[in-house]
Amino acid sequence: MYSTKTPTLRIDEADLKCKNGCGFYGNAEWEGYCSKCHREHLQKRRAQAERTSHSQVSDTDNINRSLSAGSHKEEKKVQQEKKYKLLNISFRKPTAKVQGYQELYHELLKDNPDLEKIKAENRDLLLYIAKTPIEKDVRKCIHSFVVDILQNKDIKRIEELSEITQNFYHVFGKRLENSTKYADIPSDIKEKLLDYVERYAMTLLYRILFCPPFTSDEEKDLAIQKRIRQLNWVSGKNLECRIHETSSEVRELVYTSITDLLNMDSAKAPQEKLACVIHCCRNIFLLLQQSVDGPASADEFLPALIFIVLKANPARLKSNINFITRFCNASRLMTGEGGYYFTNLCCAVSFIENLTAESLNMAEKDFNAYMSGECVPANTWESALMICESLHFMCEDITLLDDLQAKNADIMKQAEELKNKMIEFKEKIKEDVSKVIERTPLLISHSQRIPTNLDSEDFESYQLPPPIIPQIYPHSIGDNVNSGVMTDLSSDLMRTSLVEDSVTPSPTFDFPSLIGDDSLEASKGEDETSLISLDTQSDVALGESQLFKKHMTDSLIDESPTLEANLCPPVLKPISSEDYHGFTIQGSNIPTIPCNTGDSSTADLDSDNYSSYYQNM
Amino acid sequence: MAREYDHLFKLLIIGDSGVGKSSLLLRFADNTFNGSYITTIGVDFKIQTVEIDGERVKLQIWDTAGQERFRTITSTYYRGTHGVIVVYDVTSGDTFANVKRWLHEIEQNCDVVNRVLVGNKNDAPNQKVVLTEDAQRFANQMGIQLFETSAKDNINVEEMFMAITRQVLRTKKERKERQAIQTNETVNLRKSTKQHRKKCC
Repeated sequence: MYSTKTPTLRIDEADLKCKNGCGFYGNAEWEGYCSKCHREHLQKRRAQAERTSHSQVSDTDNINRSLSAGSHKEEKKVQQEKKYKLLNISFRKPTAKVQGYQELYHELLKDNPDLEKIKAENRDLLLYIAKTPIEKDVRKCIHSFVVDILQNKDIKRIEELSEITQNFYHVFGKRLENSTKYADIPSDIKEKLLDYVERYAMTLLYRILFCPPFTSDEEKDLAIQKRIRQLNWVSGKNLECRIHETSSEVRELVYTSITDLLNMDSAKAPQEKLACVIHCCRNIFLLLQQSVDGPASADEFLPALIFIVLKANPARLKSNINFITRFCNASRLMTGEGGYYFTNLCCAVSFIENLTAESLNMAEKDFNAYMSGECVPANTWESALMICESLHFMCEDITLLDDLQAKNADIMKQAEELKNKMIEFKEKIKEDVSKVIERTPLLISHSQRIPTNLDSEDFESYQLPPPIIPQIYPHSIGDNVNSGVMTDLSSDLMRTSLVEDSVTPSPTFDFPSLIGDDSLEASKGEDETSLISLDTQSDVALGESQLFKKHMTDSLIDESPTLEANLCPPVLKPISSEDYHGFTIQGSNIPTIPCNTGDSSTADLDSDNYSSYYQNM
Repeated sequence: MAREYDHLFKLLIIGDSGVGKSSLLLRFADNTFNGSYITTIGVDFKIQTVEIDGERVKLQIWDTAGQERFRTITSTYYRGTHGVIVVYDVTSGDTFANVKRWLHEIEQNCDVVNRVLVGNKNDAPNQKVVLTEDAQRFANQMGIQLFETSAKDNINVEEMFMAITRQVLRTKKERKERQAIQTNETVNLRKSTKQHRKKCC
C-alpha cells in the first residue's frame, strides 16, 4: 500500500528481490530474476520454444515449402538482377524451423542497400569464388550462422550470441585453412573471404545485434553522452595534450578526426567501424606531428584521443564499442593497427568514465564546480574556438589580401605594358607621320593644279548673270557716301569670310594666290571707286549675285523711306537707320551662302584630289 | 600455405612517460632516433619481422601512455600480450622506483607473460643515477633479465628486443609441447568427437 501511495522514483527493497520470490536479490540484467531463477526461466523458455517450433514444423511444413518456393522464385529474380547472391539456397533447406525467423531473415535481406554495397565492393572476390566449388560451402556456412543467431536472439544473452559469432569466425577460419575444399585457394583470397563473410553477416544482422533492446547498451550510451556533455569544459591544457589549436591546419585535422569518429556510428560492419577509428587516430597522429615537431608517442597520443572523444561526443559510443568488442573477429581486435587504436579508444572512454579531479591535476573544489556548471574555466574549447574562428577569418582575409595583391601587381604590370605599347605606338605613329610629312611637298605640288580649278570655276561663272552696275542717285550724296563705305566694309568682311571659308574645307586650297588676287582686285577697287569693290564681291558671290542685286534693290527701295524719313520728325529716324543697318547685316551674311555653295564644287574636287592622293600613297 | 611469418607476437612497452619508450621503438623498427623524417603514422604502433633460429617472427609492438593518471585504464592494452618491456630512465631515480609498480600492474593484468627490464638513456655516464649493480640486483630479485640501452647511440636495443622475442618464442614452444602432451592423452576423445561430427553432417 505504501508503495502505491508514493509513486516516486524510490525503489523498494521488494523491487530489488527476485521476481520468482525466492528471497534472493534479482538483477535487471537477468530480467529481474536472481541468477538461479533466471537460468531456470531461460531453460523453460527455450524448451517451450523448441516444443512450439517442433509442433509448428509439422503443421507448417507444407506451407513452409510452398512459401519458400515462392520466395525462392523471388530470390531468383533478385539473383538474376544482381547476378550473384550468396544466400539464395537458404529457403530450400529445412533448417529454418520457425516461420518467424524466415520472415525476419527475408526482411533483413530485402531492401538492404548496405548488403548490395558490400557485394559491389567485393565483386572481384565474389566473381572469383563463383568459379570455384567453394561458393556453395560459403553460402551454407553464412546461412547456418545467420539462422543460428536469429533463432537464439530472443533466448540467449548478448554474450552468448557474441560467443556464437566468435565461434563461427573461428570455425570458418579453421575450415578455410584445413578443409580440402579450400586447399587450392590462395591465402590472400582466403583472408579476403574471411573478411567478406564477417562483413556480410554482420551487416545482415546489424539491426538485431547492434544495441539490442535486451541489453543496457542504450542506457550506457546516454550515461556516457551526459558525462561527456558535463565534461565539455575540459580543454587540451587540462589533459596536457599538446594540440596547437591556433594553427589552422591542426584545427582542420581536429575537425577531420572528429568527423571520422562520428562516422563510426553510421558504419555497419565491425571492421568498417574499426576503419573509422583508424582514420580518426591517423589524423590525430598527423596533427600531433604538426604540434609536437617530431614523431608523436603514446604519451601524447592518448590525451589527444581523449580530447577528440570529448569534443566529438559520438552518438551511441558505448553501443558501438560493445558491438565491435562482441562481434568483431577477436583476432583482429587483439592485433594489428585497428586493434591498437581500438584499445586506445576503449582506454579513452574508460578514462572519461572514471575521470576525477586528480586525473586532471586540479583541485577537487574546482572540478566539482566545473562539473556542476557553476563556473566555467577561462580556457575552454569554445573560447579557443572563438579565438580560432577570428584567427581563421584573419587567415582567410590574409589569403584574400594576398590574392588581391597579386592581382593588383598583375594589373600594374599589364598597365605598364600597355603604357609601353602606347608609347611605342605613339613613336610609330610619329615616325609614320614624319614620313608622311616628308612626302607632303609632293602633295603641295599636286595642289598647284588648283588654279585650273579656279579656272573651271571662272568658266562656270561666265554663265552667271553679269554683275550689277551701281547707279548713282543725285540726291543725298552724304547718304550715298555712307552706303558706299558700308558696302566697302561689307565687301571687306565678305572677303575675310571667304578666305576663312575657303581655308577650312580644303587644305589644299592655294589661298595665298587667291588672297593675292583678291587684294589685287581690292586694291584695284580702291584705286577706282569704292563701289567697284562690289565687282569682286559679285565675282566671288557666283550665283547669288542676283539675290544680292535684289537686296540691293531692296535697299534702294529702302532708301526712299529714308529720304522721306529725312523729312519726317527725328524720332522715326532710328528705325529707318536700323532698317538700313539690317541690310548691312544681311549683306554680311549673304556672301557666306554663295561662298559655301560656290565652294562646294571646288571643295568636292579638292577632296577628290585628296583622296586620290591618299590612294596614290 | 605461404605466409610471410611463422609466429606473430604482440609486445607491450610500458614505463613512466619520458623514459624513451618511443625512442626505443623507433630505433628498433626504423633504426632512426628522432625520426623527424618519418612520414608514416606515429611510433606507437610498429611491426617488425625478425628471424630467430630460422623462424620468422613478426613482432607487433604497442607503445603505451606512461602518465600516472592513465595507469588505471591501460589494463586493456595487456589483452593478448605475449611479452612486456618495462622501461626506466637510468638518469632518473623516480622512474626506476616506479618499476615495481609497473611490474605489479603486469601481474594484475596478465597470467603468464615474459618480461624484460630496460634501463634506457645509458649514454651519459656522468648523468647516470641508477647504478647497474642496483638494477641488476633488483632484476635478479624479480627474476627478470636486465638490459641497459641507449636509443640515441643505438646500444643494446636490438639485443634487448631479440632477447624478449626469444623468451616469448620459447614460452610458446613449451606451451605447445605441454598441449601436445595433453592432446596425446585425450587423443581418443577428440577423434571420436570428430568422427561423430562427420556423421552428423
